[in-house]
Amino acid sequence: MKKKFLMWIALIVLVATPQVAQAMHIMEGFLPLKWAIVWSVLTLPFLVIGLKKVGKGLREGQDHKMMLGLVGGFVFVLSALKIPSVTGSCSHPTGVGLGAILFGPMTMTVIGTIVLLFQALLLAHGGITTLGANAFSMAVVGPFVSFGIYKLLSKGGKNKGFTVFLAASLGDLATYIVTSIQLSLAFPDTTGGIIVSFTKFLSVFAVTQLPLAIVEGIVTVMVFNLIQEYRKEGVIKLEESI
Amino acid sequence: MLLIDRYAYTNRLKDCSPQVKILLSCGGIAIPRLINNYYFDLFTIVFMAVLVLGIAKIPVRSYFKMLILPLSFLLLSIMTIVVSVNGYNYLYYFQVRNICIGITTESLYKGARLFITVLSSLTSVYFLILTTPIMDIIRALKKLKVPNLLIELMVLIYRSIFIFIEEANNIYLAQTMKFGYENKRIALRSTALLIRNLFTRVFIKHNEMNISLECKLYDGEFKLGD
Amino acid sequence: MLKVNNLYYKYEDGTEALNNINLDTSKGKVIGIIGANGSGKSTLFLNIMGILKPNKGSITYNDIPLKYNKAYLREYKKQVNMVFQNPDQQLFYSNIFDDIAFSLRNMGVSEDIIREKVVNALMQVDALDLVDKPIHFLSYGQKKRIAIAGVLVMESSILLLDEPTSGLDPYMTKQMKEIINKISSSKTIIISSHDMDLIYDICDYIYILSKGSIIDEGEKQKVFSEDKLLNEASLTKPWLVRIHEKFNTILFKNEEEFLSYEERKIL
Repeated sequence: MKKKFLMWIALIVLVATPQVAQAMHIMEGFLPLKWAIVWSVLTLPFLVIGLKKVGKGLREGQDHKMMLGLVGGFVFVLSALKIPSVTGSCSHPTGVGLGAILFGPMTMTVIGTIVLLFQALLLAHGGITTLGANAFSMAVVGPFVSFGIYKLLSKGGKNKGFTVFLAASLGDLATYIVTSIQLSLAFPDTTGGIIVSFTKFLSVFAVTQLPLAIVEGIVTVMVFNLIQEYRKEGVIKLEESI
Repeated sequence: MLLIDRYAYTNRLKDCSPQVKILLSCGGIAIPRLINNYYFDLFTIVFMAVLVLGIAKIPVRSYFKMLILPLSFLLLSIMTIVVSVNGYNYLYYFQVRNICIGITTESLYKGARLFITVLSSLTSVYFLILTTPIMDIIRALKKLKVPNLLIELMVLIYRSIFIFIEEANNIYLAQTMKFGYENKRIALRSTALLIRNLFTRVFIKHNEMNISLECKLYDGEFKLGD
Repeated sequence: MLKVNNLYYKYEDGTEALNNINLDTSKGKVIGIIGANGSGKSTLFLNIMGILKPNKGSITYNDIPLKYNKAYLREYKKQVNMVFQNPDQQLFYSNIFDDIAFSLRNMGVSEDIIREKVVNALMQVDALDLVDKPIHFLSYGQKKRIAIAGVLVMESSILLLDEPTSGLDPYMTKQMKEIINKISSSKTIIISSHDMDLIYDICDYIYILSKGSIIDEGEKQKVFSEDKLLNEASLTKPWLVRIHEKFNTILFKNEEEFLSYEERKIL
């Protein structure tokens, strides 16, 4: 009876403790070697294609290398900002949604991977061994989902603010789901296997990830609208497709 | 912010060969996995701590703060793994309707093992990032034949990070002067404004830097010396 | 030797930025361009650099007019170059050596010569001791010096300095003055600044820019005695000139002369 009580306390404390809600970077060393390699291998082709596309764009058009550098710095700082979250604690945005809408998913794959590397090296956030896995969820799946939803709903002529919100928050949710899959594959439950493990991870992280997705969605819409204002005034020049 | 970068450039091991440091770090990650003996993991943890605290002379407080950083993720994930449903040999459990939720000896053991292995990899990487400046790491990657475009982008992004941190900081301070973070709603709007302004500066800086690049006879490549 | 001949430049939206500018660098070793904010100083510099193309008039270097093709401008920039006011916009690497070596590597210079030139450039700006630090560890004044070194290394004959002392504390300003004096022995310098005392101290010949036109030019003693024109350009007089005018002392050429002056008693 006493043990049961203690366990409840432990669980509540753990979940309710104000933590800075990060996007779900898998921390250093967390994935078994086998899985670290698998996800790196899966991410590699996307990175290679992204790099080729970026390289091609640089050779053809005006040289944008410096621009990409600046965008990378911008995304890094973006992901280091603190936004007040619904649950009371702070969150760090992922920058995935905004980045994908503004710069395109392929570019974000390259830039996102480099930003993840620097997050691991400069902020000890995420990891180098888990770079492949994190890149897959945050630099491949996230941007593609965000961009895909943005384009899809834009064609339908839906309200722009709603489109951007959905694109950003669903991108975050997709990242969180993929990360949960990655974790459950690496740590299947002893009795229930992968499915149970997936459910466990999904529910535990939902507490931080769902509010984060919503808040980031809101902030992304706000930023997007502000950018559009500046475009109308001619302060920023962006491609017409955005 | 970016205390780790500062340590990397000011610690006692900064001039030590980057290749050696990278090898040590990789060894600390790979060897315990290959040997699969948890005492070796413990040895790695202690060994790396000695290198970082004793030889590189990183302040103990900072080191422990860094270890605590990923703690919430670690504990949460391990708890998730440790707590199982409808298993056998429960140590502690409680019942909800006909589902048993609790901790088995096996899962507890699994959790403890995971904790140790994560810690050994974590301390190995921390050793690397606390003692090795980023530029050394990038140069090592270049030697490992990482594509040139990627290397160039890394160099540029690394520099940009510091430009934008300063800008973001300035904007943030200016906003706080005007009570920009008084409550959640205002803070949200201020943050959005900060992001938008930062984004605008991406373009402004791009224009300015392009002019400088022209003056310096930029030919499309950001070369690195050896 | 650089000349600006009857140059006119309009911005994209049609506003006139520069009207009939005539400038001759053979008039002095250190040439000053002074004017209020928005008078066109930076635009003039960008025209001289060949980054902006004038609508009318020309820039001639060694009596040859500027050609606006890539090959010509490439060679031109080896002879005429510029240091911008904001150091951050011209520092691209976090490693100081790589940043200063950037232009030389772009020119295909061999690595051992690069090494020599980079060290030389760092010595000229008194920053050799900084070489191991990453750029983001430097103070504003230190960054400004590294930015200058990054251009000095190209060993151009003419160097444009856009507000080299803006944002610097008094000590750094003094240091910068010394650096400019040192550099001026081997090249012609065109400097734009709001610091009238600095301009008075180091310049041989001065142009006053006001609303896009040159309203006066000449040696410092002459230029700074023209009250009406200085007013029109929204400028003030250097302190040494004001002291001279108020107390009828001799007009000192620079601060050192003023400070070392001792009144001689007339017997």
